[in-house]
Amino acid sequence: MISDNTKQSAAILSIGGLKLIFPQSDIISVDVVADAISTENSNPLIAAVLNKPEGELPVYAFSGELQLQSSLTDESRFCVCIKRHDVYYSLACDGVEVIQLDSNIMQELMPFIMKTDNSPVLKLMLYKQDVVLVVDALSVNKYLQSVENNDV
Amino acid sequence: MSEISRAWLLEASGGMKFAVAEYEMIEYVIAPELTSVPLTPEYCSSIILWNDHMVPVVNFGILTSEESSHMHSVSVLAYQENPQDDLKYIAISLQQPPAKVSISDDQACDIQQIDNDIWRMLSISCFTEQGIAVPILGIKNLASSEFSHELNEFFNQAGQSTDTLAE
Repeated sequence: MISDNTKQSAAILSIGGLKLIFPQSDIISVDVVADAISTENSNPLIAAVLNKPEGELPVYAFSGELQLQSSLTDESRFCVCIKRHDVYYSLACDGVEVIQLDSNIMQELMPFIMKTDNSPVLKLMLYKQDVVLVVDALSVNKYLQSVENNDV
Repeated sequence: MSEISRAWLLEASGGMKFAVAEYEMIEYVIAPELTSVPLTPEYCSSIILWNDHMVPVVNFGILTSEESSHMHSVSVLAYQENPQDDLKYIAISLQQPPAKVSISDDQACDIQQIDNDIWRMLSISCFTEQGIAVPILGIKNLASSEFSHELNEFFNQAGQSTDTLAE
């Protein structure tokens, strides 16, 4: 069990029964999905784009099994914009919950026997009796890149 | 007079019998509620929530390519990375309930007699039971990065199937 007495904020993204948690510092904005423009049929790995001052931001949509979808689902409500250093993208999700992490919330490193090369999951977290997958901007970006490169 | 050790004799999904020390098996769970974790190997793709722990479940039925891989029950096993560390847990799917056995030193045999590559890698020793070499599982070996790395190497090789591992 990993304990950290320093309270940190984090955001849980609900995606088709799956829960991903990002450090709050990786999230720069949350847009409603209505702001996204569908890109269906142009790039099967990108579900939509958001128009941002910096240009078009790709919106990725995961299934509940963390597989990339070519379009937003009916359950998609938000596009969470994620940024760290030069990495900048958006993930569609059904819901977002911001929580304070503390030592009472159990986190465990991903067991070696469950690891695969391309998985973005860094740890497993137990929150309100739900298993939450701990990721960050860079680990998900690395996974997105590996999918785009057909490594998965 | 030879020494007698108490152990649990378990039958993993896939049919392989193995043993762990009596104190290493913490609980036998019938019809466990599994939570899938995406992008994990098929042989360890879910966890159980057990006593506030998230415990990975290893399905040797899938790992050794046997047909019988249905998860009827699991045994929760405890191990330590180092003597001063907290206990960690890993579960193995079973196809038969555990049986308590006594093993004498006279039953000890050579690990090379285990007729399965994976179980040879995981064993710390073995004994003969009704003429068959039964591995004694090194639980720490199963949870180790080295074992996972070796499995990944096997599966990443082009054309490598799990059948090869079972032989």
